[in-house]
Amino acid sequence: MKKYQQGDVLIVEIDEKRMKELEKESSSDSGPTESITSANGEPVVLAFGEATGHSHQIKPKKGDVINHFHNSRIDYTVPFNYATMKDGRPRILEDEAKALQIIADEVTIYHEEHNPITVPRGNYEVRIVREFNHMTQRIQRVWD
Amino acid sequence: MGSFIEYNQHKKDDLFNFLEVAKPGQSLALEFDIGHRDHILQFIKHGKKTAFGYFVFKYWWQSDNYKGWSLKCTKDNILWHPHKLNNKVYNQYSNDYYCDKLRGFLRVGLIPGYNTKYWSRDNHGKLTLDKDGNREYTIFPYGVGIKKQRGAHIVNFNGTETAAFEPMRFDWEGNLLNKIPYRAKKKLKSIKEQDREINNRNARANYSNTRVVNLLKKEAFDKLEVKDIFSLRNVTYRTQLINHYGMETVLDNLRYTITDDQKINNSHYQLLSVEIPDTRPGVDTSTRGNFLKMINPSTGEVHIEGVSNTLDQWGNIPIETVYQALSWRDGDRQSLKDSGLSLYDDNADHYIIPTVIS
Repeated sequence: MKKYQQGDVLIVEIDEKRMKELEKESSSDSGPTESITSANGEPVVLAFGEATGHSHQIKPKKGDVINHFHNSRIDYTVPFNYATMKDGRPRILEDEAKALQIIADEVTIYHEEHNPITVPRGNYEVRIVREFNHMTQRIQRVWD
Repeated sequence: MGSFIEYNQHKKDDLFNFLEVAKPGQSLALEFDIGHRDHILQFIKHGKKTAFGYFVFKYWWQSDNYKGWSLKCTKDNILWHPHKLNNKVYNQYSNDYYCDKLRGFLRVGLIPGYNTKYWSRDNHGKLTLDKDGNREYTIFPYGVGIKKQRGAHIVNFNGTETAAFEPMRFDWEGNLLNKIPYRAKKKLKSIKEQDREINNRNARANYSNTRVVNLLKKEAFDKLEVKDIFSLRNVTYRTQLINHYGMETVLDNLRYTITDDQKINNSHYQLLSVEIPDTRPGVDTSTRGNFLKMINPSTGEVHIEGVSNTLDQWGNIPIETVYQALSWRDGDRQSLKDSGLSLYDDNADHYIIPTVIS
């Protein structure tokens, strides 16, 4: 099992079975999810930085096919109150990839503060590293 | 807002008619659904005025756990006492079997005012506008609900809250008729206490985080202290504050021990066990927590992140090495479990060293 890491984003190699599970989760009725295919060289954003506005993104070459199954579920790691809501709605984890299928020899992932990394063809799970908040005694995703 | 199941007078009339005229051994089936599953609540007449209620799935026969009656009713009241054959119900507070069936019974619509969203505080009341347009908050006249909180089920009978106990007797209007046992009262009190502590802890953490972020945005460093680093949830803000003080100053101001030190992929990692001060004014207590000190391989910035004190969720395996801490941080044990690795060992750290890291 191979793992690629760029800052707080982990790209973990998975097998076909796990890929199908993740696709199924993305198409379940538990939250608004969708699959995006980029075949025309449009950038694919894997994760956004909240404070910095930076993003981890793939800039594919023309002809590279990137299937990107993503979630836009409510972020339950953030307590719902007036300070954390945006426009009166709970924080949504928008456009964050859950699974990634790279149908190309390799792709490069870019970020404003990290060196680019190259990931070969394959199926991957995309995750954000987590940390423990000793103040609240809760696990949260690492926010940057 | 609350979400109420429609009260079904027809079903209740059918049942009352059945209780009145049916002969012992005759049955009446009422259908309802829980999630995607269709169920039947089957009443069988027993004696002159009594019927037993059984829960059955509509399309298949169920395991032994679902045999036996769950309720006994007359036209006056319901005795809720699900029998679990060959298996004594030993802890009804947290027994999902016991409480899911009660949820199912309430979904039939025989009891008025079943509130399926009995959770937030606004469910107990109703906000209305009077003729002058003033807002009035009135207590809802009835409401029955059940929720799971802090590992136990809490039932609300028209405003009377209790931890679930066995057997419970209630009338057809949803009023509890039993006296609440001492241990159920004690359980409810302890749940409320736990809830209060958790809510207060979160509120304190939210307040500290917001205060420090605002001061940081205004660059009011004279009003900030080193210990405020622990109040910040956002890593970028935390790094900003560490950069302001310098890592040496930060560590000089804290009591900590270096538990482990490793070099992985040419990057230096340290696992620190830090004494975390309580940020509340006037409070002089502290707790110990693990932190990973690492260097961003792309920028060279020093960076610290909190990691759990234990590797497993049950708190049995303490995190004592950098590998264990990184494995916890990256969720590698879960990745390996998901992949169905046959050599998975609960006690191993299973850290997957990244092929590339930047």
